[in-house]
Amino acid sequence: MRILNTYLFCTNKVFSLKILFWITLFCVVAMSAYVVIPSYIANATPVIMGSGDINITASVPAHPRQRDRLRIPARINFSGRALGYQSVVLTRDGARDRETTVNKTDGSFAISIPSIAVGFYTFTLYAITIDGYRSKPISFSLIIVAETIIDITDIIFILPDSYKRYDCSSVRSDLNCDKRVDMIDFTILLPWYRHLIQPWKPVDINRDGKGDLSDFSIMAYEWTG
Amino acid sequence: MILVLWRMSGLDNFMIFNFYTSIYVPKKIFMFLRNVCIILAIIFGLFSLSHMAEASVIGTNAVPRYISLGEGVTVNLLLQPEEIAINAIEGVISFTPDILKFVRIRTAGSILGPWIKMPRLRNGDTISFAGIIPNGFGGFINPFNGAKQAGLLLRVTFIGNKIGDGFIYLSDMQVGRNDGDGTLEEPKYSRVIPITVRAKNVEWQEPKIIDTDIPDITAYIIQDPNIFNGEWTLIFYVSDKTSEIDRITVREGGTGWITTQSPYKLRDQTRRSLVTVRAYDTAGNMHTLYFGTPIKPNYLYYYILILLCIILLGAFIIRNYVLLHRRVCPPDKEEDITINSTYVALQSITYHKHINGSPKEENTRKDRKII
Repeated sequence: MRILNTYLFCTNKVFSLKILFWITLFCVVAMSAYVVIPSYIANATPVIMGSGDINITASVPAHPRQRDRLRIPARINFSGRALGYQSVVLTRDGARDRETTVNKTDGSFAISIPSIAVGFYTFTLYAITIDGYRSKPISFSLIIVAETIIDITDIIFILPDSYKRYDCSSVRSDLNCDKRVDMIDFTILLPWYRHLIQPWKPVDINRDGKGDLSDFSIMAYEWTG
Repeated sequence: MILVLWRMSGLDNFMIFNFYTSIYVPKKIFMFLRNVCIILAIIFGLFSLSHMAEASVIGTNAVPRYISLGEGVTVNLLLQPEEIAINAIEGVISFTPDILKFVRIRTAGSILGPWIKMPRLRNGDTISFAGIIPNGFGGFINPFNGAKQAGLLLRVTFIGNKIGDGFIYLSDMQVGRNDGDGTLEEPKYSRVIPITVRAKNVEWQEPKIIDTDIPDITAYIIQDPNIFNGEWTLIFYVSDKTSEIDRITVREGGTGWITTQSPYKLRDQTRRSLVTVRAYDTAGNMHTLYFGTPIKPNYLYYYILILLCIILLGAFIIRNYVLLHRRVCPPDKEEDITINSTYVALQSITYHKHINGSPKEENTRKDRKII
């Protein structure tokens, strides 16, 4: 900036060839970056893939400014039906990310992450009724590519005909009874890893008299974030 | 058992000696028993294979068979689940420390976490680890073609320390199925990874990682009878996709920063201090979280503070007003002579200034009496 100021605003300085060389080099690099961006990304066609009960569709919209492509983050849309439930919760890598209300008339829901960085993520969705009953979670891990729009559709949560209101005893891993299975419960269980739990305590989730990987496995299954 | 029987069959064409019962049995009966054993073995083998096909695989990246003295090698431990997702893993990695020198463990980008047992070097040659994957891991799906990719567990870097045959051993690997029953199984894995160090000196440098993203923090301040006897405790989990977590520091109110781990018992159990959690990664990025005071504050302090501010502001305005309008005033007749003399001196300065400035005023000023 100092050099630029000097050459732009100082009348006693002459626009040297050295500066001209650097500007030319900059232009060449910028133009090559524009050309090198792989064109196959722009022409990628949506692929529909069944993964259990869900459909994953990935697409990359054509963008007039290709050079900006790699800077634009991805977007993920989740949609489906959860008739009878009140809300749907989305967790990202085990941490609660966002929650949405289910449409009361048709049970549809939609959650969107408008901007997500490139990388590897595990997403989990589960639905909750008004009296706290939690559905079986749907979990999947995805590779996120820049500027991709990923639509995850047909996520169906079916409410059983008879279900119990939320109770601590029904969710074994909710050790502090706060209707969540998260880091707090994990911290409560952690000191018991590879230790005997006799006489029996609630931290012995699988009731085998010891704290081991099996207890943690059940907790990971019931994890709500 | 089949091999033993098969071998025994070659010993005698007519009668076979049974080692267990110590009697000779006719050849036909033996042949019948042998065939039954073979069929059972095939069925058992097929059952085992079908069962193994469902088992998950813990493998590594393509580790070079030969490295030079001083050259580094990074072993990426990977998990490839098959039929059922995996949600918990534990295992042990050991190595020959005289041939391979341990450099570092990296957990950035690992699918594991929170960690039950953070992977660390123990006893100079053993790395044991355990962790969970919340809601399970069934392979990273490529959304464009549906192909599944293995997930990274951890990376361990070694350097060729001495010429010879070195080994990396994987042992006690166990995974938990994401079935809600806590079912544990032994995954398929290679138990020995041989690495031979050759006599060629190499200057090796670990590749630098560019990371501009801040670490992720999930933190809670809770009171639970199971943790620190119900005292206020800070629980946190920090992760980073690219670089390692360097340190986590906590500050309560105006006290200094303390490097700590989760769970952290708060010093100020009254919960009046602002708690600040700060996580740094090895690339120098930082993420800060603040926890305010949950207890209702005493508003009287705030009222007094606001009143003091208003008084201070009023005093400041008055002071400025006074300074702005300050001028030299004429003395009263009863005042001390010294004050009058000062006034005279000041007036004379003004007088002379005026003389130099405008001659017209000279006449008017002459009329003034100077005491």
